[in-house]
Parts: sequence; C-alpha cells; structure tokens
Amino acid sequence: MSEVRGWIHKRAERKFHFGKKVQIAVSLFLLLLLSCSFATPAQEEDEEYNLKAAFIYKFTNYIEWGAPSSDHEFVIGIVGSSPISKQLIEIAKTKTVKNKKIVIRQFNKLEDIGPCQILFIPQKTPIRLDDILAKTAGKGTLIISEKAGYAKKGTGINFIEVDNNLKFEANAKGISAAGLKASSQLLKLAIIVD
Amino acid sequence: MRFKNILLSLCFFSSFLLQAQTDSGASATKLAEFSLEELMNIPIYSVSKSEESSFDAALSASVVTREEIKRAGCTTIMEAMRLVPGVIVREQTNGSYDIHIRGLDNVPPNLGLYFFGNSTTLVMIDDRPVYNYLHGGTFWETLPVDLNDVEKIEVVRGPSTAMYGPNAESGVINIITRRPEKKGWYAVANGQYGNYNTGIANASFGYKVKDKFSAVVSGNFQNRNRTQSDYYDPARDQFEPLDTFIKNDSVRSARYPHPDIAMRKYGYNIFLNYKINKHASIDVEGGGQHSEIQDIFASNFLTTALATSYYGNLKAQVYGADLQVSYLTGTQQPQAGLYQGKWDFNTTDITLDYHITQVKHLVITPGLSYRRAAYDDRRYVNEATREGLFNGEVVSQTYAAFLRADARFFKEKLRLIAAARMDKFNKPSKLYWSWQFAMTYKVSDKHILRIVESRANRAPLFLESYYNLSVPFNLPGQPGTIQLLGANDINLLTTDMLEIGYRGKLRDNLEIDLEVFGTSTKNFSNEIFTRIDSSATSKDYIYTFTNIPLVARQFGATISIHYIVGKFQFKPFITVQRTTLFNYSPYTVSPTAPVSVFFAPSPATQNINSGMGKQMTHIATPTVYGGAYINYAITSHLNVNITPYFMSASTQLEAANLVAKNGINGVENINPKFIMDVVASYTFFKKLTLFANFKNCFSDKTREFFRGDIPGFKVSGGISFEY
Repeated sequence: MSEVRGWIHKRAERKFHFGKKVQIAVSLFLLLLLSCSFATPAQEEDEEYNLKAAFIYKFTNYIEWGAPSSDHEFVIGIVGSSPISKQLIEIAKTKTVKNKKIVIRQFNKLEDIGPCQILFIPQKTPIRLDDILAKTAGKGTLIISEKAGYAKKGTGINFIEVDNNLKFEANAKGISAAGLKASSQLLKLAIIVD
Repeated sequence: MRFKNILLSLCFFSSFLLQAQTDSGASATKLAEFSLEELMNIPIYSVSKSEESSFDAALSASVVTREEIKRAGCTTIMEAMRLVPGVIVREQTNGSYDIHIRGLDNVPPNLGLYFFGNSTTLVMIDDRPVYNYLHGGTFWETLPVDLNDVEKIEVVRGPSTAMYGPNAESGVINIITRRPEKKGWYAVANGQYGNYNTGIANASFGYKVKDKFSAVVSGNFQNRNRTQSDYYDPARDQFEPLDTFIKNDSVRSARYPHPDIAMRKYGYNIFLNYKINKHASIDVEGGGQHSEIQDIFASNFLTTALATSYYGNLKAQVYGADLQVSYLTGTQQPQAGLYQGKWDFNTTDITLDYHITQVKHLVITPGLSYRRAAYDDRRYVNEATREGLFNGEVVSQTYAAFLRADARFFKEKLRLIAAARMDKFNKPSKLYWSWQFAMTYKVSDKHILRIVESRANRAPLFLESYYNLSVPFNLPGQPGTIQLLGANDINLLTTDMLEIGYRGKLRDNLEIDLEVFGTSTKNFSNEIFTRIDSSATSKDYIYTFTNIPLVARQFGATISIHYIVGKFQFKPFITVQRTTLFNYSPYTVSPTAPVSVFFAPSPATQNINSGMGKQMTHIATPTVYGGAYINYAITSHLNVNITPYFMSASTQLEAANLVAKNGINGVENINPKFIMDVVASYTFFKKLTLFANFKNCFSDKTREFFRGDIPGFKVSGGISFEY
C-alpha cells in the first residue's frame, strides 16, 4: 500500500489543481451517498410480495381454466388483507391475462367469496382453510397459499421458502379436482405434493 | 482531459442520484417480466439488490442454463460456448477449442502463436478469475469443474472491466456452480463413451440440512483421442508422421508423451454452503485438477500442455457486504518437453464490496480489490543462461478501487448504471481507469432500448512485462543470442466501445435481442527488434515487447431470437461484423534499430511505423457467424435437440507468412463451416436419462483453427442420472 500512497502523493504534487477538482467532485459524491443512506429503509416484506405477485401472474401462463368464462375480466381474489394486494394491483395496471383485464378483489368473509380464477390465501386469514376449499371446490379456481403444509391440505399451489429463494409446491390432484389443467412445464418446476 | 471527463461524469451522475431519491415505482411489474425459472432463483431479500431478468439486462449478456447444456449434449464447458450468441468457437483438437467473444482474433496478424488464442476475456468460476497471467488467455482444460458442477454460464459481451475486473476487455465468461436445491441427499452422475476413444465420467454427491447447510463433493474425468495422427511439420509445411521430422526419440517422447491423446484430465471439488440467516451466508469451495492436452500454443503448433493445480475460494455475504478470497496454485507446462515452457504459479484475489440499498431504486456499490500473481520457473531452468521465459519469480500486483451505481427512474422505465474502476498495477506503473455507462429505457413492458459506453483494458501480462528469454545461435564466426525481453512501460491493450441495443417481446412466445456495437482497440504490442548489444565474444539481438501503432476497429451486430411454439424451442443467433486494421505494419523492427542479418531492409524506412495512415480489412474474424439451439420435446420422456453452428470463411496468418510470402506458409484458409450436432434422449423414471449424441453430423472435415486437427464425426452414447 505504501507504493500506492507514494504514487498518489507524487501525482498530487504534479497535478495539484486537477487533483483538487477531482477531490471536490468525489467529496460531493460521497456526501450524496451519505445523504442517501439516511433515507427510508426499503421494506423487506414488500420485496417478498413483489416476488409472490410476479409468480402469481406467471402461473397464469401455465394453467388452463377449462371453459372460457364469458366476461372480460380475470379475477384474482384475496382472502382478507395482505400486502400482496398492492403489488397485484400494480401488475393489473399494465398486464392482462389471456387478453382479459386483471381485477383484484378482496373477500373478508366466507360468503363474500365470489367467482374468481385465482384465490390467494394469506398466511393470516380470517376464514378456515377447509371452508374456503369447500366453497370453491370444482368452480375452476386455482387456490394459492403461503403456509407450510397447505398444499398437502388441498390448495393448488403453496409458496415455500427454500434457501432464501421462493419456490412453490403443487398439488396436482388438487389442481385437476378444481377443474384446471396445469402444464407439465409448471409441474416440472414445482415441488410436487400428493 | 481524462480527469475532466471523470469530473463531469461524477457531477452528471450525482444529479441523477438526487432524482432517484424522490422517484418511486413498482418492482412487481418488473419482476412479472421474468421467467418462472428466473423468479425461483431470486433471493427473497435481495430483489432490489442485484438480480435482473435477462430481458432487463443493461449490457449485452446471455445465460446458458444447465438444462440447455444437457439437452444440447455438450461434453465440455468450452463446447457449451457454441450455444452463446456472439462467441466464435473453433475446435483445435478433440475437446479443445479456441473461444473468442465477438472477434479480434489473430490481431495483430502474422504474429507468433502466443496471441492466436483469446487473451482478452475474463473467465471466472463463481467470480474467481481463472485466466492466466502469462498472456491473458485461459487454459480451459485446467478448470477443475466440469458440466456436472455447472448451474449456468453467464456471458457478457463487450468491455466490462469497470464492472467485473481486469481482462474483461472483450467480455466476461462466469461459470456458476450448482448447489443442492432440496433437503436431503443430492446426486448427479453422467457417463458417456464414443468414437475416438472419448470417455467422459463425472459425478456429484451432496447432502443438504434444513436449508441451512449443504455440502457437495464432485469429480470428473475425460479422455479423448485425436481425430488424426499426423503432425504439422513447419519445415515442409505439411502434415506427416511425427517421427519423420522429429527423429530423436527422447525429444519426441518428451514433447509428445501420448501422441494419440487429445485430452486426458481429471478434477475434483468440494462445495460447502452455510446460510447463517437471511442476511449472512458463507460459501467455501476447494479442489484440484490435472490435465494433459494437445492443442495449438506458442510457436510449436500442436503442443502438449500439462497442468496440475489446486484452488480454494471463500465467498461471504453479510448484509450488504460481499467478501471474496481465492487462491490458486500449481504447475503449468503449456509446452511440454521445452525448457522455456514450465513454471510454478500462485494467484491470490481478494475483493470486498458493499451494496448500499437504503434508497429505493438505487444501489451503490463501492469496493476494493487486491490481486497478486506470481510465476516462478527457477526450479525448471538454468537461470544463468536465461533459458526460461522468466528465469526467476515474476510478480504482478494490483490494487484497485471501484464504484458502481445502478439507479432507476420514472417508474423504473429509465435505468442508469455507472461504474468506474481504478487499477494500480506494479507493472506497468501507470494508473489505469476503466469505466462503463449504461442506460436502458423501457418504452413499454415489451420493448427496451439500451446504450452502453465503456472502456476496458487487458490485465498486465508476464509476457509483455517480464519476458526474459535468451536463445543462443551460432552463425559462422558470429556467436550470439536472440534475446526476447519484456518492457517496463508497456501500455495495456485498451478497448473503447459504444453499443446500442433493443430487446422486444414481439409476442408472448417470441423475443428478439439486437445489439449493434462499435469498438476501437489500441496499444497492441509485439516483440520488436530494437538493438544489437555487441561484445568481444557475443552479438546479442535484442527484441523487446513494444506497443505498436496498430488500431483495430470492429463494427458489428448480433441478433438472437427466442421462439417457443408448442413443444418446439427455437433460439437462433447470428453475428455480422467487420474489422478494420489501421496503421498496421508487417515490420517488427524499431526505426532506430541497426541493419542486421535478421532484417535485410533498412529499419529507418521499414519499421513498426511504416503502416501509418494505411488501413486494411481484417480477414481472420469470420464476417458472419452464429448458431441455434433447437429443442423438440416430442413427449415428456423423449427429447430431440439440434444445435447448428456456422462461420463464414476466414484466413488466419502466422509469422511464417511474412518470411515465406507465398500465401501458403503461415496461412490457414478456413472454409465456411456448418457444423450440426444432434442429441436424442429418453428419460425414464425420475431423472434417469439415456442419450445418443451425434456431433458434426455432416462430417465436415476441414480445419477450424491454424494447423489444428481436422474435426471428425463423433458419436457417443451415455446415461445421466439426477436425484
């Protein structure tokens, strides 16, 4: 390192004026960096749900929803409140699914749950899983959850964290029982549960 | 002038930083552009830190995944480079390839073979540099990993020193190794056998505990025979049996211990990964290898290269900080049986950087790097007579500081990346700046425009700085030596690039990627005859590595397409380029050199400056080259893959061309090539796959590289297993 210091010193002597300008610029730059580092911290939760929302949107490319519904909307329902709604709404602003407008609906009570192509069950939900499954059975709804063991209990797709990465379990029987067809490509990427 | 530019750039960039703080946008929309596979590889808590979809990449970049490599039936990492757009891959012998990113091969023309191979690419395994410091090239066969270890190979085209480190002058090839995905046991095993006695076996076994800790051990072996038995005899300029022109048995067996074998190598590795928590992890890798190949190197055409090496690599991530420490040591002998061709070496690399991510849509990464490479040939040569390349221990040391910033504005439509790096080498002593500015603009979710401006330099080379070879000769009545020397003050080869690009999702199943690039490369060097040192007993002809005024300008474009229809996946790519050489002079003589027996005309009138103002089209880089990855999944079990690869005609020129000037000696006219590989595979249960692999199906029997072996039709069959 002394070699580098010596070199910088020599260089500074030779090109003092220029060196000063560079110093000022670098100082300004560092000052800006410093001011940046006091800004609001990004929400880790946001990042996780950014990713989950993107996954959900991507799943629509790999699932066939049987008989096409007549309306022009693709409904993604959310049971109760979840940070994912913000992210899904963001996606719905610019994207479509099979040329249909994406609509995000929040269902707070069991009786509210209406027809939807995808139903997301957040980790904390006000409604029992069994009730949700019973209500949506055979109606062509892909149920997506994010709680350990839920795919085994009957949801179509369940997010899990593996090695700090987001992966998903798929219950192939559950998906076909809902009247849906999952592509082999999707099942290849999924961790299959029976 | 340079400092003024930096000052302006810093100010310009600072103004964007201020704006970034007030901007906000939606990452979910951006992530929705990723493929499912890409999403699955994004660490949950670093979405905003460093991951990006290949569609959004600011630089010209391609990724080849292990699935593609497997389906395409690649048998080596080198061969897998034929799946990458913008890469020229020429077979030298069975299993050995010369790999150039975009071109600039055989520049300057009419040179010895040291710089025939690529010397301007930063090749890494898990971010650990593995190129050699002798001439900046990569001895690919000395990589300890094989395809069973590979998760993916990332390739960046274009000068990228500021982002990746020295030698990333034409680009970067980073081989990312594989880790177990699921808890419990992990196993991968491949075996295949084919004609030319080609046998390949590799396997990895591992265990993963609770998503916290994983350990994998792996091993690989390859044996390949040559596709021809004759050797090139430079004296008669023809291929003939080795014993017709090297009659001395001991010399022959020292230089060519196994004349039939093109490649025999093995490697072993251990990969340990410990995830302490969501914000901290440690990766430790280690291993070794031994290899023997015959390929085209230095001045001896087909040459046996032997190497043994051992490595260790530690990568730690703690919150936003990354630390990497790696060490490589061993013995290289790229010219077996020749006294000047063997040395011990060790290289150390330490890099520390920190990602500042507090502001949404802005990542700033300051970092420091230290590198030391030492080559030592004292154990193998007589230092007194200077018969080695170095005749001592030669050391290259680098201290570097870098700053990278990545900012997104206007709901992430506009992205700016700026990187600057300062390298202080021990030799040459001049301070080197490299930089990279990239801007992407998302016209819509389906269309993205890019522009990149960058400058990069090659790493300091031992040949350029420390060459110290003395070759005795005995002309009648005039004993003396030819001395080949490095220089203290060499300017490193430097490339400037301006590139514009477009990526479009034209339909749900159709993507296009276009890049148009222009580069200018200067500071080429060559061994230049400079003076004669005379004494009473000896006349020494001194050749010194000297920068020459040659400038190479390349202009070109690469288009790649990704189209999926039903069970077909179609990924064709093509590059069209033209390279022009300015100021090229065929005379490797300094204007101040004396007239000598080795150079008849007057150096005052015919010298390295004699080409000033002239220009010529460079003929060694094919005007058009490319290939395709075509996959047809007939059923979920049966798969057929076709990978064509093509190059238009090219002509490589070697030093003998200047002497003979007959258009034959030192000249390799390479025919247009169309090589097609086909693989059929059948997967039984789980992941047990049987496959048949056909390479060079049209049996094209014309040479791909200067005096290399003629490629043959290759067929092999094998089995692969994954658990």
